[in-house]
Amino acid sequence: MEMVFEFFELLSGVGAFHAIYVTLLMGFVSTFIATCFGITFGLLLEKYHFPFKNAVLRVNKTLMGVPPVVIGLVVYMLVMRRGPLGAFGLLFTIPGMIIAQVLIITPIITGMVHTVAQKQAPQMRAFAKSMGANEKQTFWLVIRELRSEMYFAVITGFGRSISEVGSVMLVGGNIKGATRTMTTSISLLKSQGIFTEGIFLGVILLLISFILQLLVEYFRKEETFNENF
Amino acid sequence: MKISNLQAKLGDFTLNIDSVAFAKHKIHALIGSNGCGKSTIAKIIMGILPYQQGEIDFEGLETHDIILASQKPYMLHDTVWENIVYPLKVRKQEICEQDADTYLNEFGILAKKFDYARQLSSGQQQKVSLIRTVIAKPKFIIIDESLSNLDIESMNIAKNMIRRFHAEYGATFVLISHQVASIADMVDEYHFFDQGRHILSCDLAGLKQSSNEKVKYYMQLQSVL
Amino acid sequence: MKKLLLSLAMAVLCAMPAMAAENTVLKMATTTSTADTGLLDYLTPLFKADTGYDLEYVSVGTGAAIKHGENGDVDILLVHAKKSEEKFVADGFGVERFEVMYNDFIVVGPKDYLPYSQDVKATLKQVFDKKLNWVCRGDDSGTDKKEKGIWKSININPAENPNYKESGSGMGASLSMADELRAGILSDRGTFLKMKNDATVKLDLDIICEKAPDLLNQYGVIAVNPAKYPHVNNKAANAFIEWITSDKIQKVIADFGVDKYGQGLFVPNAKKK
Repeated sequence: MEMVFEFFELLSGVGAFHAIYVTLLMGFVSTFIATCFGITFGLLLEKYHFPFKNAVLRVNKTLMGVPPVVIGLVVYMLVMRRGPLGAFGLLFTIPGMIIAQVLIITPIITGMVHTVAQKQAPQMRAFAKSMGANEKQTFWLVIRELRSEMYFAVITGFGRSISEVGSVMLVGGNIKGATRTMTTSISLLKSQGIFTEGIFLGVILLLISFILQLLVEYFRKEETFNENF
Repeated sequence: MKISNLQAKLGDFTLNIDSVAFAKHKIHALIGSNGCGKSTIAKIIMGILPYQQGEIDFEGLETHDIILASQKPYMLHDTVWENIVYPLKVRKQEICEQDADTYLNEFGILAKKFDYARQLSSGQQQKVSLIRTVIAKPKFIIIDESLSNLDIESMNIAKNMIRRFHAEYGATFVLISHQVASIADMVDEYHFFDQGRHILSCDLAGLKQSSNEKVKYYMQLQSVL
Repeated sequence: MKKLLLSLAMAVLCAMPAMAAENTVLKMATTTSTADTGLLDYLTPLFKADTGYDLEYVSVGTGAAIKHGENGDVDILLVHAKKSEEKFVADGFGVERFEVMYNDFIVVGPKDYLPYSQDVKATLKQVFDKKLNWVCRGDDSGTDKKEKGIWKSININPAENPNYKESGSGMGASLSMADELRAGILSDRGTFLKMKNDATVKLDLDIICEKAPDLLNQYGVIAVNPAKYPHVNNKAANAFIEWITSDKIQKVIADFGVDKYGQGLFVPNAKKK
């Protein structure tokens, strides 16, 4: 018991709990915003045709694979004191990190939603119309029917957000007790040659990843279970 | 409902209809071999496919009054129950559970009521699709090939259901089929199509006596009659 | 056939130690300042030309660098934390410590931060008393240890200043942060001069305090003890020590940076080995 207590003391000493809090806060908020954008963009891109649509899709696909640290650098240059958005003082703050995360995850959610919508939405729309649904009802049907794919996209986004280290290091600055996340903590602890607490944070991240995995499985269960081929 | 001078281009396929009228309260059949454009007409009526020329006179029918049961019914990612009541929800109609249960029972799938619809066999999905078309009591019902996937017993149940519904509510039915035999005992008027063209509209006797080569050949193939 | 395979295997086995003996790579753990100033990148080709060894270095905080040495991950250390270095040798991980050069630390800050001074204790006390923005490396590096030592000597816990921030990053990143946050920071002169001149966005910070005796920063070089870790490349390590303490290279170190910054970044002070 004493040992457990000492261990926790040690962890709070290196700011592990605050890092967990910052990571989750950043993850939830950025995923929420990116979800709003990503699902909207994904569905709009599927539904409407406009000039240069293919170019937009290609750019989005490219952004899905862009190394987060590049986004981090761009956001850094935008929000630094002498950058175009410097006046807002967003550098080395959690909102600044959230902006970077939103830019990283939105293309991922957009791309995933667009891909499944492109495959499935036409038949959903045809069905809604054949049932006499109006435009609004059709829209909601598509959203409802794509829900498990959307959960999957959102959970993927969240997973990316909390596991990311490059951009949060640049934009957040890894400031102790303020913008230090689990991943940047691990990176710093490693640079100091301290592994125990780093591994503890790693295990927490693994645990979160495991829970996300379970959630995805839960949402997909009905899909994989005895589908009629 | 009246369709006149309709032209629709869909890729290589062109649909041409000079004039087809679906008289109210009757049971109609769209017949012809595969690829003649039967399903396309249904989709154009429902607004799923566009058309370039012509006119469809709905004669006062609203969007909510028409329902189509597709050849390959789309099952919502939900229970059988949710699938059946969807048209009611669309129309904001009250859900009468007893009604639904009666239909489910008739088709022998009452036990599956709260099963996940996509786990049913394709025949059972057709039954769900059929119940879904009539439950909201629409005035104009198009059933695309749904009957042909059923075994004989289920088909008879389905036909009885259509007859009864027709008698009770007087809805207009349009059955799409490539087998005249299976529906000959209930259809009032046939509309024959060949390669995207409307050839003729008449009753069964008219089909049998037609001098049109295509109709003759088609009827020969439907040897049961 | 079997005989052929056997003799081939024997040949390979015999060749392995020979291959190891011809290892021309020298692995070094060093501090971020030697790398960030570009000194090591400047020295690497010279070292190769003079001795034939390839220098491969990891630049981390002094704490981590010493840890690398303790784990036998590297052949040699080039760091600046005298106490830790002496302990490293005393514990049997290192052979002997040789002084190489020193640079000095400075306190820098934005315009109108604090008046120029040569008393670092007084400067830091003012930072704390006025609750000025302050960025601390907080990464257990030599610089970090130096700064913590000064705070301790004036009995102040800097974390009680609400505007005190620990960056947990290297010198360059921390300087950028101080610049962004309009904060003061303790830096080594070399990295500061380089960032002030070479960075895309030039540092808008000036020297506030320098030349105080507490701000000297002595670099030492230590070969990892081959008695502890037989696999280390001790031959190369000794060659490096001999080379870097030679008059020729000491002169090179003295001249490094003069053309660019108008002053040398490091002052060589090796005693001949």
